[in-house]
Amino acid sequence: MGRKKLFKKVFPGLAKSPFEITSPPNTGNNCIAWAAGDEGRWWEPDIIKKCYWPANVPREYTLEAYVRAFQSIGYTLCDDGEFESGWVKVAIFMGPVRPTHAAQQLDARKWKSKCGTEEDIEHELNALEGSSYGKVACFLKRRSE
Amino acid sequence: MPVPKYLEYSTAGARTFFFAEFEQERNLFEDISVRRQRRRLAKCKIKSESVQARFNRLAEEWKAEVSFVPSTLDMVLLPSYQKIIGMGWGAVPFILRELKEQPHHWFWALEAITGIDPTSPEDAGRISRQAEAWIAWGYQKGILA
Repeated sequence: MGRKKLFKKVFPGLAKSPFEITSPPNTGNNCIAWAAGDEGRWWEPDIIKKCYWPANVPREYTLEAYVRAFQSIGYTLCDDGEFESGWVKVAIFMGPVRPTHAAQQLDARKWKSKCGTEEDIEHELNALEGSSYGKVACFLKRRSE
Repeated sequence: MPVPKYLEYSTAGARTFFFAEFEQERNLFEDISVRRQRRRLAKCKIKSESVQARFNRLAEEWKAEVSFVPSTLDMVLLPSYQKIIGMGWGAVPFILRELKEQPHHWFWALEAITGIDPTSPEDAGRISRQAEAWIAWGYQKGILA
């Protein structure tokens, strides 16, 4: 199965909107780290502490803890995912029981995501919503560097 | 009837004693027969499938399943991963070889099976460095040659 076809199977929303694969697969980081701008580590509040998690942020799989992880690197909660020049926005996805994913905004239409241990993609935000990653639960932003 | 060792774990006073004794037993096991036992385990068959074949099958199954999985918590709870942990020491040489080929989230399994952790807390989230620490441990113990 081609890579794009596989993405469309896992995220049916990608079959209805344009998206591009922009990197090779990588087991070294995850979507949270990648959206946070850290390409060298896997961010997760795992109990055995094999993954990186910012100090002083509760090591728990809750939306509040994930928001605080982004707040620890300068992000603040914001109302929506509307593009604002001079700002970088991040969307956190929430599944039925815990946060599942984070995407970072590229421009007025496109967002970028690292999908599990697979490739990075550029996509429309809502295209990743569904049974795999749940729905967007909140947005955060910080000044772009 | 004497109280089994594992039940002593549940009493706070005996906890330190239990771990000290467990540590001694583990070291003894390591010192005396670990290489011979591992060789023997690697040759055993489970339901007419060799340990190596079983590991390869489960590892391939697991890697396919975790492609888009967003967290290590979800990865380690998959039945294929749990079955690999259930293989015990017999799986360790194969996991270490997997890590040599491609670093992945095998640390939970390795720690669960061996009861040790050769990785450094500073390397939390750095999958390649954690893999290197386990591979070095494998060579040191004669599991990898």
